[in-house]
Amino acid sequence: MKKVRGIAGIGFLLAVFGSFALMAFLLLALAMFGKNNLDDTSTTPTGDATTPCGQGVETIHPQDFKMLPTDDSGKSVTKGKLGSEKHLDNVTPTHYCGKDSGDCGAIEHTGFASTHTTDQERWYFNAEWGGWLADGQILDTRKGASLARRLVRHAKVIVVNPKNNKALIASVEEYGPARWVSERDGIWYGAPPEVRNFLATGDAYTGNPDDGKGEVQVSFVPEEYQETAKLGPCTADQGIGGSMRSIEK
Amino acid sequence: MKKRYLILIIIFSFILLIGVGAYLNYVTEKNRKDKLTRQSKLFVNKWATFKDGASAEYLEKIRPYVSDDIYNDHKDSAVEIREAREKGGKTIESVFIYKTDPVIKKEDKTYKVTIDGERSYVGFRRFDQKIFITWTTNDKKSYTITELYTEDK
Repeated sequence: MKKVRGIAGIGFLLAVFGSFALMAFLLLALAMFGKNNLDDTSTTPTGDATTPCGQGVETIHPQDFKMLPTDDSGKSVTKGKLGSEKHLDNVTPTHYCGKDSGDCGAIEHTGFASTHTTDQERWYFNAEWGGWLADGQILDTRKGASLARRLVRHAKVIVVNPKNNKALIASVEEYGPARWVSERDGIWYGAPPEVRNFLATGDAYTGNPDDGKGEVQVSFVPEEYQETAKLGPCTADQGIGGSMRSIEK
Repeated sequence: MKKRYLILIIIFSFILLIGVGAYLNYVTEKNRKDKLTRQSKLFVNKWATFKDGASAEYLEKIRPYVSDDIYNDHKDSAVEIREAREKGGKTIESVFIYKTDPVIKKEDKTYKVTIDGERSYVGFRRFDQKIFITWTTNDKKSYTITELYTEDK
């Protein structure tokens, strides 16, 4: 009788451990198959929306070269409308495509002539960066322009929608939009669907450059935080006022 | 007496040696400056006067003169210029007209050349431009442009 009880006890224990092992195996398998880099359907932003954006600056160039786009009077454009850009196609290691991506088939831009990570591709930003093309068509050869071109590649910028205070940190991966778009619609910047969806900026292509629709405020993440700042959403509570005040000095 | 002559001969020879050395140095330096001045003009003729500043031919023409950093910067920028054209930009021809001969100065191990001229982006805009070129060497035989920028007025 004791022997039968012993065998039953061992059997019970084995069944319990077996169940745990099976559950652990199932959870592991789920975690492995659920993490598909090629088609990330997650809607949760990669950045931490509770992290303060910090205070932005107008330039990260050591000679104070204007790196943000400049208007006809030569003043940096820190506030402008945000236009639509498509996905980048020169990606390493994967192409990001989530529920916040819109039409992922519309991949047509190469961005700067260098590769970019999946995060840089998802949270990217473009403008007519200073030091690139004077008048949008000629290479800028002035002193400091070459350094500005080097510094702006993959540089991080703080982008804030002043209407709802939503903010994020994006990576500079491309040059554009064309100057005629700025003149027609007041659109100085561009970003892919992920950025525009999060900021909820709305349609900026109104044909009116002065209506402020889809307007964002832009500044650079200071040089000392360029390496460590995470791409994606952040809280503008400390960033928006501080960053813009420092720019207006 | 002989000893006195000997001392005078030694002093004279020493002075002669220094003089010849200085002269040779002057000649070498002058030749080097002349050569780099000619090279600067040849370079500017290719760099600032072009039909298409984003073409492969243009990049190949400037390549022998410039450092890898400067070449790669131009190569990457050419991609952006071509992309800007796809978005409605034009191919703009550039002409540089010399106003003065290049001025060359030695600074440490480098030679700095300044050229005054007029830059014309045909049918677009025209302005006075000063070109600054820095030539650097590792072996005192071949020189490469390691710094290149303009001052536009």
